[in-house]
Amino acid sequence: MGEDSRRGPLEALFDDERERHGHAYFNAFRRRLRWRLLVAYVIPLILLAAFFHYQYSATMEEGINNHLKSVAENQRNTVDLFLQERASNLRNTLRTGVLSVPPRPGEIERALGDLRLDSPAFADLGLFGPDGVLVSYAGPYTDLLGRDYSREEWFQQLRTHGKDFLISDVYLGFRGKAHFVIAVRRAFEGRIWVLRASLDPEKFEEFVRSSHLVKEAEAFIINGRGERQAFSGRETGPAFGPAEVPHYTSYTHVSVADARGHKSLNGVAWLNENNWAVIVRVPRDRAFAPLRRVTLVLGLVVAAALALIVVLVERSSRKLVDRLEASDTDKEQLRRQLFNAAKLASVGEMSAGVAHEINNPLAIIHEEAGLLKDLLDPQFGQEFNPAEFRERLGAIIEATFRGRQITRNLLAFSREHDPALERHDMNAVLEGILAFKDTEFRVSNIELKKELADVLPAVLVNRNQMEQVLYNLFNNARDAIGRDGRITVRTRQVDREVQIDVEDTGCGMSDEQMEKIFFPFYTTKKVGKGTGLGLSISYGIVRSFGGRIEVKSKVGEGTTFTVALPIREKEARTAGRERPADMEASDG
Amino acid sequence: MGDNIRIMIVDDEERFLNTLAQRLRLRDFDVAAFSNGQEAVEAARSREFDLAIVDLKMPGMTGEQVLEIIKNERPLTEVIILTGHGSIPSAVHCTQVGSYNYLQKPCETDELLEVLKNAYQRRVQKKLKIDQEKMEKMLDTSLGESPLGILRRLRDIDKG
Repeated sequence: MGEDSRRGPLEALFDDERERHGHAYFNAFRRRLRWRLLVAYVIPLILLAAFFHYQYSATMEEGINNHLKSVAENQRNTVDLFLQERASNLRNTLRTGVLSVPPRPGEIERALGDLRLDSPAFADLGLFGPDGVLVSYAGPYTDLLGRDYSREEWFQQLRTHGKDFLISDVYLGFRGKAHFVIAVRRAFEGRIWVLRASLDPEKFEEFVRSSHLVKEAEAFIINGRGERQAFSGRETGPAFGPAEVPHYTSYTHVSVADARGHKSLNGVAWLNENNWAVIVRVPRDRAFAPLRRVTLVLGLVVAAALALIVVLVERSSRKLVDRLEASDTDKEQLRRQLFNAAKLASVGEMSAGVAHEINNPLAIIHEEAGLLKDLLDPQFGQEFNPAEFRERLGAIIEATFRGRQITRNLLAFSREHDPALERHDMNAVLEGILAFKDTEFRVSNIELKKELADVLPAVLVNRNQMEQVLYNLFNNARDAIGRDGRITVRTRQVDREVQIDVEDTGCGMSDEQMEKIFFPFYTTKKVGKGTGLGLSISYGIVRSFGGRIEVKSKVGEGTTFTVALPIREKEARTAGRERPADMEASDG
Repeated sequence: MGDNIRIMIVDDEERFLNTLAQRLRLRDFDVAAFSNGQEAVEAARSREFDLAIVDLKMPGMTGEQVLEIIKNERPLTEVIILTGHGSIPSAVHCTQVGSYNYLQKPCETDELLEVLKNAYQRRVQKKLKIDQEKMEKMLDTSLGESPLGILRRLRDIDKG
């Protein structure tokens, strides 16, 4: 039959494997929920912030680099152009005959004057003969006249150079003042003459500095060895560490260099006209100052968001779990109310039977007492026999005990249920119930057959509820039989379960009926005979013990209900109040 | 007061059965006590009882079955039901089947004795009525018979 189809909706009603949770469970649940929510919110937030930060810094770095490059390029072009112009000034001076070879007196002064019109940077002008001797000079250092420059490096370089001009690095030279020179050569009648001009580096540097485009940035020129060209006599020496000297490249690039402990960004553009490079340098921390501000703001925003998330998650998880716990408590209360209602219904059914049952001992008491009265009545003329009196009074006392036992059982059954689970031997529980049902079965001519296991492990149940379940099954068996039949009770251990069979030789059930018997308010009994709650409540009770109820039935042959209860190692699940394990009712 | 009225008591509660029997004997009833329905029915078949006090819920044969058999086989025996498990449907059923009265345990002695007395009177009246009818019938049919034959018939009536 449809075991599973029957269990589905019933589990929704009764399954409290899930439902009966303590406060500690909800606290643990709240902690788990809180962590999961935090992780779910915080990780994306941090990832997003990190991604944003990375993107922003990458964009910013690219922007800074491009800017440095373009500034360096502009400077380079300007410087290149300047140097080209100065070189062609000199070339023109030689070519156009402004200066004759060898020059006539006054000519060279005139030539310098012309050159200064083009650029005030020209400091002096000298003409060297083919033997390297300065033959003509205009400028402040006239004592240089007649000196032999043939062994000077620049002179030799220019003589052997592929290009017809040469630009020197900045140097002090004979005159002890920082300067650099531009020299051009020209052959006259097969002999090479050289025209050289010194350029005032201060003027040149002013020019380089005047083209600053970047705030915080400094621009300067280095030679091929990475030495800073100190036009104004300041800041000489290497501008780069030995490993960091930028090599010549035809393109402009940005390098990171460590200058005196501070990282700096250097836009590097090599000149076309000379082995010089324009460097636009900006300290790295200055360049990235806006990024630090953005990082700070981002950090603050993320921290604020985190704080907000923590507060919200804490509040919402608390609220949610409180609500869950409240609804769980409500559900548990409803369930208990249902159980109690069902039990009251059974108590009602039972008390009718019990009221009758109690009539028998009462009738005995009545008759025994009546007889004693008769025996003392002179009209019957009986002799006083103390032994008989004692015997009959004993019978009366015994009958009152019988009556008390009946009321006790009823009280025990109707007592408010206490959910504490304790270990009980099912055989003992069964014997208790059967002692109570024995007379009832006997007068209905129902044979009771007990096939109880010799040894049965104790199972964790609430005794009161378990008795309710068994009482219910026996009542159903009795009602199914009516009169003349047999009820067989079996107990056994199967794996980790204790199983109890209640088998009757009654009318049996159709499959259709079997599908419905565990549903509340379904009954096959006559109106007023059954509430239809017994089996559904029993099912709920057994499930709350972690067990199950199964049914096998055949119309006309009988029905077997099997209650299976798990054998558990662990101690009582519900922290119940202490209660005596026996069924002693207070007898007032 | 019992005037040796022949009465059977059927009850599975032996203590109750024997005590009630003894009390009725003290009152001069001729009591036979049975602790189960089967024995009671057998006894009723073998001899006539004036009255029967029958419990309902008993192992084996129930009180209802005993009542039915007695009323079928001994219609003049008046049956009084005395039960601890009284209910209206059961009372209605027993009355329809022919019980004289339906009493609930515990029953007051005076009430029980009153019921027994009335039941016996009814039995006596019924018997009288039947005897009378028989006598009339006999007288009708025996006109012209010898006085000795009439006497013989009268003796038969008294026996029956």
